[in-house]
Amino acid sequence: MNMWRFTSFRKQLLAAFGGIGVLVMIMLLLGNQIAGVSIKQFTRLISDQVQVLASANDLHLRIGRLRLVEIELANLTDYFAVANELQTLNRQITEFQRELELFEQQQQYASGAVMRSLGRSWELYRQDLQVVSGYAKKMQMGEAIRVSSFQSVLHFKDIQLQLQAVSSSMKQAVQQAYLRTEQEQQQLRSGFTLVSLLGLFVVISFVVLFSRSLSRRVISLRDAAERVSRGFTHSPIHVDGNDELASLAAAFNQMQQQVQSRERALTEAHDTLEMRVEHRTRELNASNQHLQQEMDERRRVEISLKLLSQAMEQSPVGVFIADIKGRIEYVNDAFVKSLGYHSAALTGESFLLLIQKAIPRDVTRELIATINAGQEWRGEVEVRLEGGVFEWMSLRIAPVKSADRQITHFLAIKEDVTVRKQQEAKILYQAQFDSLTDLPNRALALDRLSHSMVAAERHGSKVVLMFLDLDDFKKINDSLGHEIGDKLLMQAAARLKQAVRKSDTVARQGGDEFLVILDGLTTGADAEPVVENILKSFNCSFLVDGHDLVVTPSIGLAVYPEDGEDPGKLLRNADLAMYQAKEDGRNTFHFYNRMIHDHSLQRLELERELRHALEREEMELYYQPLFDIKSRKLVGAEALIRWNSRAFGLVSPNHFIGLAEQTGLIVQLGEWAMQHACQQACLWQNLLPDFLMSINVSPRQFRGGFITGTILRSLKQSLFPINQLQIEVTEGLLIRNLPEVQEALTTLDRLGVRLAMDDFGTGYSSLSYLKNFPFHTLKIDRSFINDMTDDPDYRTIVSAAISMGRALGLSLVAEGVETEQQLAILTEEGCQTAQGFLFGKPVPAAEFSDRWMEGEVDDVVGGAV
Amino acid sequence: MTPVSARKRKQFGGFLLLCLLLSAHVVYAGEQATRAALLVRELIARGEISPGSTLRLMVKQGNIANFLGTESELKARWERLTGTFLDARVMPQLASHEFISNGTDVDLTIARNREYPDLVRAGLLNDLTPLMQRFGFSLPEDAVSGYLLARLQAYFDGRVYAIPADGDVALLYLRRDLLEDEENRRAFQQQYGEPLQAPETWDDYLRLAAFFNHPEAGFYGALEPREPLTAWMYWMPRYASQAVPNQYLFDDRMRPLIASPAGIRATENFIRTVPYSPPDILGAGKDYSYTLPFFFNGKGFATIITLAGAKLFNLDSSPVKGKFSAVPMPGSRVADTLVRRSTLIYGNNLVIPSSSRQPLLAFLFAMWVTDPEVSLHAVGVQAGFADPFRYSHLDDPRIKQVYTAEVLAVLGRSLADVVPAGTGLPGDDEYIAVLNQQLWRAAKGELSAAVAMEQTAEAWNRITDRYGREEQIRYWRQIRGLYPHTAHE
Repeated sequence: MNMWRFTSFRKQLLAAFGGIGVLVMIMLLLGNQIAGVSIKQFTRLISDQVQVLASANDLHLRIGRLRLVEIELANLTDYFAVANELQTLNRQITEFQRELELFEQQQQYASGAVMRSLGRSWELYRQDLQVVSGYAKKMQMGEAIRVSSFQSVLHFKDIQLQLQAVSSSMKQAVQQAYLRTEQEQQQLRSGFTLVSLLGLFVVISFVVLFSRSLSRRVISLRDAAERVSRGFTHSPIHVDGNDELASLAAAFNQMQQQVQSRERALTEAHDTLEMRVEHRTRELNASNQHLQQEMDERRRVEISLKLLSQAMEQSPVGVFIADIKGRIEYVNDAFVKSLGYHSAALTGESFLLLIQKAIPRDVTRELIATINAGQEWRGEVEVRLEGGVFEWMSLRIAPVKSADRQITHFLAIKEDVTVRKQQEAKILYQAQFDSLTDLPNRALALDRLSHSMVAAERHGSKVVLMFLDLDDFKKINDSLGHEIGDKLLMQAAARLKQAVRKSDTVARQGGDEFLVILDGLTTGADAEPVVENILKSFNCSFLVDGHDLVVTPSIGLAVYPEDGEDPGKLLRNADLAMYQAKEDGRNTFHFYNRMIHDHSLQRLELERELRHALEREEMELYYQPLFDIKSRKLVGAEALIRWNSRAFGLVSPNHFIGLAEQTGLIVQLGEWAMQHACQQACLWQNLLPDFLMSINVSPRQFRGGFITGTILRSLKQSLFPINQLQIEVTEGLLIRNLPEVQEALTTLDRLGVRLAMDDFGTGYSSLSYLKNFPFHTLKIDRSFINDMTDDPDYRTIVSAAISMGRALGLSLVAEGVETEQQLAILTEEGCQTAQGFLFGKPVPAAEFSDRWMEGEVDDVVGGAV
Repeated sequence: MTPVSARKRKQFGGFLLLCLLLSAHVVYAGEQATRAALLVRELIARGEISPGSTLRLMVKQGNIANFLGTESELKARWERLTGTFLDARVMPQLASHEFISNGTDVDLTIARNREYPDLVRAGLLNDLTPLMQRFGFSLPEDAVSGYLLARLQAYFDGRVYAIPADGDVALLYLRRDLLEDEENRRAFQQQYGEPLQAPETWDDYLRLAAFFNHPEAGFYGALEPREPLTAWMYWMPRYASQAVPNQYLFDDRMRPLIASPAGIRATENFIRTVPYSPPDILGAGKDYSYTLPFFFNGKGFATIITLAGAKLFNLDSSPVKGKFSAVPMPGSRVADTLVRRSTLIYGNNLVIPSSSRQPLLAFLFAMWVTDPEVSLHAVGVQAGFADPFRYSHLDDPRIKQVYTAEVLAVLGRSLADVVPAGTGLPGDDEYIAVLNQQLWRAAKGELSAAVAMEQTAEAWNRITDRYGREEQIRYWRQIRGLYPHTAHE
């Protein structure tokens, strides 16, 4: 052990554990070797035992099966199965023979005598089986049974006995082998146990010696350290050995000396410090008393402020405080919630910017001016909140001044007055609108009428007031009840609103009376289409709670300013006109002004007649000749429609063409005129091959894109050449620049139809039309031709128009040529074609033929002049 | 494995299987067998047959080798091709009716031709017609590879109930060496004034039996069983040949025709063989197992047995090997026409009991094992009594080696003479039992032939009435249509 003291602990421990490890490994290897030998012995023993027993058992089974087949063969009644059984028997014999030989080779336990005896028995039994087989082959089953029952059975039993003897012999041999193996293993186990005990003793001895050496010196060190820790000084401990523990003991002795010297210095410093602390403590007690007084005071102030703050926070009135620059320093919950913001988002924001976003600019300007002047501002404004919601709020912003009267902050107080405002609006609505029909009531209607009258005064327009009463409404009300009556009024109101323009006012006067205000009209007659719409809208019956009700209106109309200059008078006159309509038979209207009324009736009558004019063959085409100015020869004609009404006689185109356009009848009239003009032109084309037929086409005919088809149909039916047909359109058609018009004109041009711009100079006379549309001809309006001889300006215009037309490659036609002087000017200016009374007025076809298709033009013209 | 890859693998596996089966077709089996095996695989894939199913086949001790093959070669092939198992067992010695009605663990078994009506009537057999239609099988009768007597072996009441697997037509076996023996020929000529030759009529047969009968030397002229269970088999050829084209058992109203001169003649001829037979020939249970060893061991001149007899007599262990002949069954001369008739005396054909748990597998195995080529391996087995049942068997060298070409040729010529087994009617067991009993009693001398026939006819009328005459008439019209239409000579 002394040698160990001069080496380090680490080496000592490594050497010790290494030795123990080697010892354990030796023991493990030894144990494993012993176990392996033991297992092999047992495995061999068991394998031999099992194999031999299995072979013996297999022989038992096979000899049993063989016997069974033998018996089955001998007892067969079906001779056809004999061959099969013989095959089976022979196979079994062969297999048993092979197994027996194998058994003899492998076995080592049975005695040779036993095995020889077994072989002899098997040989005898096999001979018996051959005998049985032979009888079976000859179908001598009786003999086969005899041999099987009395002869072969003995040999079969011998084999069984021999096999049992072999088995017994094997069992004894196996048992002895088992005992020998067991003894060998017992010896191995004893040796291993002895070696294991020896190794264990060595390990324990080493551990005890080593731990005793270590613990003695460690305990010596521990005791010295405890003494030092308790403050006892001690002489240096004994240093023994040369390892880590010896070094530790030397270091401990050195440390003990240092501790003793420092302890003395500390004792002196402690005494000095004690004195200083006592002095300082007295000073601190005085300061604490003063601080406690100040803290009490501050706590009282904080409580007060907290109370005020809580009151502000929980106030239902919105409050914020902003500094002098408008930055919000405080805002309470009520204000934040009302605006839909977060308090954090508002703090630091400029309240002026916030306000500018929410309220009108002029109000903002007024507010800023007021508070900058140091005054309080109050107002009610509708504010748009986050999310697009509007809210009415009462806002009060006042400056906060310091003790020296300087503005330091602004205080704003906000109150939600939305509910009050909504209630006010509701009251106002109820005061102005009828609760049943949701229409404006009489008061609002009169107010709006006043406004309309003021506007009409300013713009020089007309206002028409309709007074409408439902015929026989009272009977319905009395017979079916007020509830039905009310529902009928609601439906009637709805129909009225649909029948008028959106800008018009429909109001309920009371009961079954309604007012309709039409403003912005040029004449009182402009109200007629609206009146007709209203009458039409009542043509269908009303279905109310299963009742099919027919109600018609009687309408009186009064026109401002002719029929009254104040609302009351206009209303009264409209009422009177309504009663007149009742007297006229109801379901009609009546103007308070007699002239307007008569005109209106006449127009309606005219429309009724016009609708039947074609079927009554009251329409007729007149033709006005077109002449070449230079040659003075007929080149064509313009077809003009005339109406010879049975009721009104010959009606001027100025009267019925406009009406036909308004009612849409112009489409039928136009198609009729196109067909007849083309048919007539085809007849004349036989006499004058280049005959040109010019026909006016209304803008209304272009709607729906049917015009092209109409023209092509007419040409096809008449066989008139397409390039000799000219259609005349006015600028009015082109103003709206509709795609369908553009498309129709382009198509007609592509097909070869000539296009002429009629009445050039009376409208916008835009050159762009001539450029953008495929015109061939320009017809200069008669008004320029009439006056050009007297007015140089008109001549200049005509001259310019002709020059422009020529420059654009257009043919020029002068309309309304009545004098030779006019013709001379046109000749001089270079106009190619003319029409007018100088050449001939429009006449029926027969007369046209007589006058121009069968004589010289010069004569005719001369005659006409 | 993903479902897709699993499907692909399955498809690939199917392709491999198809290739395997096609190659098997080329080497071993015909189209019928290939299709049957493929169908088993397909039904397994579709879940109609469980993978690894076991088909329980129960047949007789004498023909189990016909279904398993030599060294169970057919069994192994079937199991390899289909992935199913075949459990073949020997059935107990019971009549089919009793065995099938009590058996619950049988999927496929055998039944004799005349047993179908009663089995069907008792609801014990599966109707195979739907399976034939479903799987596209038929029972062809073409002369190349068709079934020899499918109409007699497979059908009842227009439906298929059995797959033919054994052509048990009765033939007459004679000692050819004795017929050809010069001394015998001279003696016979001297005794009867006619040449010694194979018999044409039943009377000729009786003369031969008498001529060759030497009981003192343990040699007998006629080795036909005369016991009470199988008498009808030896009486029926005699009876049916008594008229042209046939002597029927019943008239159109199911009135028995056996109590007639024809019936009496047939019965008397049946009885007259008894003196030329071994001493215990009238003993109960002395069926062919009693008579066969006599002929096998060269102790008799003539015997009547199915084609399988040739298989035994041709064994090396038989003293008569090379000395015997099979000839067409003798007939009766009616006016100038010789009418020969034979019948199916046993016939073990495959049927599927109603209690079968694997009817699909059983049917497909039946189609497989009776395939023209596979069945060559079945019929060609030495150790089994199943006889040729297809035309292809008659020309096969292996079958010829087992049966001899001469015997197979005689069978081919006799096919046109075969009448249905038994009565072919519901109640056949009862009809035949009465006939057997009366024939036995007549053979024992207890009754005359005429009385035996009269009593049999009376009993038959009672049986017919019990089963319903009109219904029996309907069946009889079908059976009657299966009789031969012409006589050969």
